[in-house]
Amino acid sequence: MESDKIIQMLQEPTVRSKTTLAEKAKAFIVRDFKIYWTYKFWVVFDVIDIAILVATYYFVAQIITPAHLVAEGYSSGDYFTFAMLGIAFSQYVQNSVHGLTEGVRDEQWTGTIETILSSATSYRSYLLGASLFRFLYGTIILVGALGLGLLIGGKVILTPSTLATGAVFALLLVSGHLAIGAMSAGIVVMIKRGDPIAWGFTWLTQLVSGVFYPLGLLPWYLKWVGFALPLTYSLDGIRRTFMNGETFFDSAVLQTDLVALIAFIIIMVPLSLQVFAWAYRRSQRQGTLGQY
Amino acid sequence: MDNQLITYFQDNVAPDKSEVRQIWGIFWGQLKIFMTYRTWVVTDTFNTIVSIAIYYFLSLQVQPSQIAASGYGTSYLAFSLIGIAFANYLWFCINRISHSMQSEIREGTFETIASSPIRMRSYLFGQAARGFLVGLYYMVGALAVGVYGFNAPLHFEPAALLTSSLVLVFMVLSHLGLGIFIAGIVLVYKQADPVTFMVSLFMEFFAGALFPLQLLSNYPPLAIASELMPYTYALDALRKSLIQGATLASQDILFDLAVLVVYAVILLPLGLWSFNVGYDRIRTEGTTSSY
Repeated sequence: MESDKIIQMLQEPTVRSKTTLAEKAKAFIVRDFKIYWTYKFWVVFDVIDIAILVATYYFVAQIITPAHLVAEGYSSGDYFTFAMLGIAFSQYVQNSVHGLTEGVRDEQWTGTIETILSSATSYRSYLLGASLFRFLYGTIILVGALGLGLLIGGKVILTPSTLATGAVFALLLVSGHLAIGAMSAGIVVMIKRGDPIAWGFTWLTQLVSGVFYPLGLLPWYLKWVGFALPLTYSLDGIRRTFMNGETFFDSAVLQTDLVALIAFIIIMVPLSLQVFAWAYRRSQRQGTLGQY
Repeated sequence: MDNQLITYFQDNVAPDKSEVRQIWGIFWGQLKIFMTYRTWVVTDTFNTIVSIAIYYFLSLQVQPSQIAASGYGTSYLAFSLIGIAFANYLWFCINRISHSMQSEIREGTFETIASSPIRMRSYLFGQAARGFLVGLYYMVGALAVGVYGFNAPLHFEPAALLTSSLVLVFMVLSHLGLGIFIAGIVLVYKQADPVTFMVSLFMEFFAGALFPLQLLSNYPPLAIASELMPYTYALDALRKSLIQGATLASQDILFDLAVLVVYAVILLPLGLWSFNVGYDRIRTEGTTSSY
């Protein structure tokens, strides 16, 4: 019946908020910042975590031969710079993807997700808002990690054109991983547990996206798995840009990386939003949004 | 008045004084809880395999001569496998006590345990025993995958295994005090994950889990910090026994063991003492169940 009738009976014609998306996004950022600021120690730990990781690979770089890097087209053969870029950018996206799903999980625990998603805020605004602070925070940690890396011996080529190329890759990297984060968050909404997609993504990318070693060292089947992941193209593009000084205009490899990333985003963004919407509506129908 | 109330509510039940039975009870209860998280076991097992694969591919870039110069054979895979597998084991053991303490406080069961006749020491050792056993599953699994899946050249002869097992016991004993100390912090401040996380990070870095320690010789403060870490000595002995096949007859191994014993003798009573201070404090303040 009756659900429609009941909804009509309980319905109250309130004027919907005219809050713009930008205002909502800002509100999300302020809210998440305030929550995060109550755990000040975590900020210190995040900084120390990435600093120790970069320092570890500074020493590992001293026992590594440059031959494989040179063979893969990273002409400087500098393993520390290779690892520094790999670690900094992979941590960046992992924290962001995990951050989104952890945020959803926290909202389930504290019982606020039902309130937010029952309000005039759409799930798209919610996903965007919940991601923003984590990406902003991740960006600060990323800049810190790269700064430390450069301070202790990382060598990158910084020109206006490499910076512009790097910025485009970073933007595509973020967009591609927002899609993975949204899909993972949808799964969390549905199964009310940790995030299997974010978890699998973390390990898979570390293994096959060339975070610690060039792809040429992988057997063909793992290499093909790597080609399905956006981090592979982003890392390759960022490394060629900053280690070799290549740009979109003079490098066919970078153009291929760019096309692959755009294709991934075109396919994955609508798909992941569909997955989240499906999981969200299913939980709504079953009345389990507030469960954890 | 207080005494009268206590007498009124007192029940003359003879408490089970056997410490072994208490430890076993805590251990068994925790193990049963662990077994309900099958998905975690599967995902953690998968994580272990993938991380070994990552070090295998990383090892393909390492110059064998650099590892040979450190005195641990020529295989970087064997070198890093031991460094990471045992560091994870140790982290599992240290983290276990404080993490479960935090869960008990959050779920409201800690006050019940604290009010029961179970000795706190039995509770701590029971928790630790569960951590050791589960950690052992992952560590042995990691070594087996490394050796049989990726051909890491490790010595599994009886003498080397006996030596490394003994080192493992003393490695755990020398760090157990630290785990109990952190559990004491949880009791008072209700948060410890960040502390254990930091401890594990520093431990892995300064003990040279992923790179030979002679690389630190150009940085005296780092080299000194490395020499102060008990895990440095445990890792040295473990690598010597499992990579070179050294046994208890080796002076290097005996020296490492002696250092671990000294750390155990100092840290274990210190950890228990600081835990008791924290425990008494929350009972006095009445914050046993707050979080």
